[in-house]
Amino acid sequence: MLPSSLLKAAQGKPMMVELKNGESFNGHLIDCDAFMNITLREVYQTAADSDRFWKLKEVYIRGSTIKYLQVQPALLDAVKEEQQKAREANRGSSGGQRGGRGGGRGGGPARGGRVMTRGNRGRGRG
Amino acid sequence: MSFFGFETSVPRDDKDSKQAYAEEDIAVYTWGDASYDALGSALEETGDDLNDETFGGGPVGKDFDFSGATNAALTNQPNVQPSKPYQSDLAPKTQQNTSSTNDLWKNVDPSSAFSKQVPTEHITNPVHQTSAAQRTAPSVFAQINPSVNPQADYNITNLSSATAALSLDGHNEARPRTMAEIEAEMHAALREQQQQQLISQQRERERMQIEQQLLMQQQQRMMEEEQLRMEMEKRRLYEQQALQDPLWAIRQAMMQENGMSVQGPSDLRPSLSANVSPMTQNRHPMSQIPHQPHPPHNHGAGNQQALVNELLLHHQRQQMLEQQGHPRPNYDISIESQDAMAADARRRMQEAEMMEARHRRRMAKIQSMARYNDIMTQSDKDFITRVQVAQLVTSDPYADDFYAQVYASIRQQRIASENQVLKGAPRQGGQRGPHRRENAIQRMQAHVERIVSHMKSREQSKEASSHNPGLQNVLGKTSGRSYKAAPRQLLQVATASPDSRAHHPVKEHDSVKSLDSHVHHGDLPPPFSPTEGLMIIERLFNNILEIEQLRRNKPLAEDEARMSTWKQSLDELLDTIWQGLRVVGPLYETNPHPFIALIAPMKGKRFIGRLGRDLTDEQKLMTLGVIVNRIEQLDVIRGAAILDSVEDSPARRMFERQAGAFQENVINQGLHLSPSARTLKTYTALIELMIENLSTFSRVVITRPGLTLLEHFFAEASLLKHGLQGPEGEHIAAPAEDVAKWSNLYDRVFEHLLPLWNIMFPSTRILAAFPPNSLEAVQVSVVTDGFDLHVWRFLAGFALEGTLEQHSRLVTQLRAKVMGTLRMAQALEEGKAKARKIRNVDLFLNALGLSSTQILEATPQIPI
Repeated sequence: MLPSSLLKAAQGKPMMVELKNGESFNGHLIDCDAFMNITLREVYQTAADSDRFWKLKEVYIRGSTIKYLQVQPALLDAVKEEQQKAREANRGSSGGQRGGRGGGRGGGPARGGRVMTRGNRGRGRG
Repeated sequence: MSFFGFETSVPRDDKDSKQAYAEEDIAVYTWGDASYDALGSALEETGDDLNDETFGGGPVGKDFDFSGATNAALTNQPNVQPSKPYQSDLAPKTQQNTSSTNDLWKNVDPSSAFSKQVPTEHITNPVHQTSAAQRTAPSVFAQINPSVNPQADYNITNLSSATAALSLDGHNEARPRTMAEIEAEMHAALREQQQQQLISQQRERERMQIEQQLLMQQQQRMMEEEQLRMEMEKRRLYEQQALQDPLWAIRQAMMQENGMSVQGPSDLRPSLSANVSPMTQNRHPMSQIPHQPHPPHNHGAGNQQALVNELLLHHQRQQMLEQQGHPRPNYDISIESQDAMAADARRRMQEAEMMEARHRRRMAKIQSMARYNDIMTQSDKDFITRVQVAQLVTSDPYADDFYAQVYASIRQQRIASENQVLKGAPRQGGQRGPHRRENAIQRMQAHVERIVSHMKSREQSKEASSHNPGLQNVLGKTSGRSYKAAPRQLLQVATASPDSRAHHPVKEHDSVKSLDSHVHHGDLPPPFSPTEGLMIIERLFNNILEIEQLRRNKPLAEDEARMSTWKQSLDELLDTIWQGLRVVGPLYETNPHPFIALIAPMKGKRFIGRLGRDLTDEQKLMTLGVIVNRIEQLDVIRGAAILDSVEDSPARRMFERQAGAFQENVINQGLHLSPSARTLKTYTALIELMIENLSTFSRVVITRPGLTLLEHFFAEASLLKHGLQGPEGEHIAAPAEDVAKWSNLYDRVFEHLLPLWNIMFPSTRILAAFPPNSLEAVQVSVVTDGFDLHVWRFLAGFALEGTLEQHSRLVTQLRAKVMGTLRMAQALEEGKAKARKIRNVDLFLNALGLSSTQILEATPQIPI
């Protein structure tokens, strides 16, 4: 699954975001978009020097400033599971097709429909 | 207590006694009771700490029932079966065993400590110790009585049996007794037991000591035997037996002499314990071999002990080897090497264990780290990579680079200024290099751009088709390259559409696309590349074909409506062609003129030829004007130097063809003026145009095509000047003023041409390279005569129009040439060459009213 799909899947989950300037934000993800702009709620912001902290109710972070995001392992487990299931389903449905289809695009929960298939199409030939 | 075969329980009834005594309770002895006479404290009770551990408390198995085995052996019971090492049912033997143990206890025969070797296969299993003991039992007695000894393979590793025998202190032949008898005896013995236990314990100790002694003796014997074997190098068992049998008595004597004297019992113990442990190990023969002898135990006189220990181990190893299937002990392997091998094996095993542990730890660590791997598949990663690369790739990397732009412009200015400074007039190929490079770069950029856009469009198409997820791949997976008609192109050539070029003439002017170097002369770039030119010609050909088709379908004159449409379409086509010819247009100033560029290819020339009846006179005149105006841009003019080459080459031939096509198709056919336009005025104007730029004219006139063109105009003009013949035969004279103009023009041309005549002759130019009047020159001149023809011809025609005075001047100018030619003709033999030369000269001379024959006759040998 693609990173953007994973981010979509993490909506509502707590995560840690570190920016390029070293500040970090811990909070629950409200929403995200294609540019990785995100909004978080109940956020604890930490300064780059880790000496000051703020608590903010809502925060909007521009995607281009993000260095990385850290999600909970539980989410990754869930994602892996879904991938597996999708792979099984894919394998079952498209048994005759060659492996190039590469099942396991599953990733991403319910909203995945379009996202997943877009990925599928894009990599149809593997 | 059953260890010693004692009935440990209170004697019961007969029927109860039939049971295995192992199930009966152990009798309770009140050693520590008050009734006890405290003699126990006087006992030398040491080494009993581990008795329980050693002997155990619970039900006792038959595993170590050495007494039973010995008993059976003593009584020679049928349970002793040499062929069956595994005796499962040992119960019946127990009685016999126990009965015999008493005898065993009674009779201690050190000599019976000889442990004869037994087939070692039986030692593999502790269960079989009993049988082994049984087996050895006969051999035990056989030692005493050598004749009874059935086999005597000298594997003395059967120490367990020996131990058993020793523990039993051996025994003479004794009848196995029933349990009842034993019990009876026990009853009697019990009364005395308490008093006798002390003694028995002492006896035990004695036994132990004797046992140890015997063991030691045995070890010594083993060692000696080992030495003997190694000395004698015997392989056969029977041989060894035969040898050793007679030695037994000797050894016995030796042992008894050495046994007691060597060491005290205190030394025996630790050494024995060291040896016992190997022996216990022996009971588990498949267990680890490596139990080195304890060097610390070997003090002083312990060297022998050490050797014995080593021997013990060695024998154990051999035993194990044999157990593993070796037929005989391999006495060739030295003890040291075997030790080394054992150590090696041990080390390897340890290493293997360590490596395994390390490996397991590493795998666990990796697994813990890699729990969340493969959430992104490889194709996901490729997708992202592709997108990122597509973002990076741009058609023009310098488009948004300010410094690159500035640098490029500065360089451009510098080069342009250099060109202007260095190459003033000709300016040929000034920007060839950088143009080519830039073109190559641009083409590569366009190529990459095409790839990127193709990929993007594919992505978008996938996007679009993904809107209906239910119908995806309904027809199976159709994506992939294999279905496409053509295989993947390794190199994609840009398909430049000429239409786009035609519609963007200004853009053509700005963009530098042509690589055709020979078109580039001067500062301005050509309007279009040769390829584009050809495309234009093709389109024009389409038009002309349409016109011809249209002409064939010309409707009847009566059909007004269709006629008008027909006319209309015809006019449109003609107009298209005229526009397409680009005789006049916004690119007027380019170099070369677009029309000139168009007629450069052969096809262009041929095309013009087909236009003969489609162009209006006005158009034709305009075209002629363009040709004359830009005559130096004509390919046939520019490349005319090749005609001076004597060598025949494909390029020369091609050029000949081009020149011919130019004259024929372009001038004669295509731009053939209709009679109405063919006026003296026209040609006068044209010739005037030609001599407008004198330097250009000089250069042009030297070339054959240029001269031919001039000749053409001149011929037409002179014809017109002399007057045409009308349809009724009247003389149509040219207008007077035109004639006057013509005369003026003629004079001017005459003046211009006068100095040029000599170099106009290609032969003159060519033969200048050779030494004059040499043989080579003559030979070459034969070829160049053909080149001269057009000049002679024009000269003749030109001269005709001249006045006498002009004639004389011509003669003066051409005297050398004429004479030279005639001279060469004289030098030649009669033949075509000579005739041609004379003919050429006559062309001119006849125009003047002279003849070559006159000269030739006058001067038989023309002087140089």
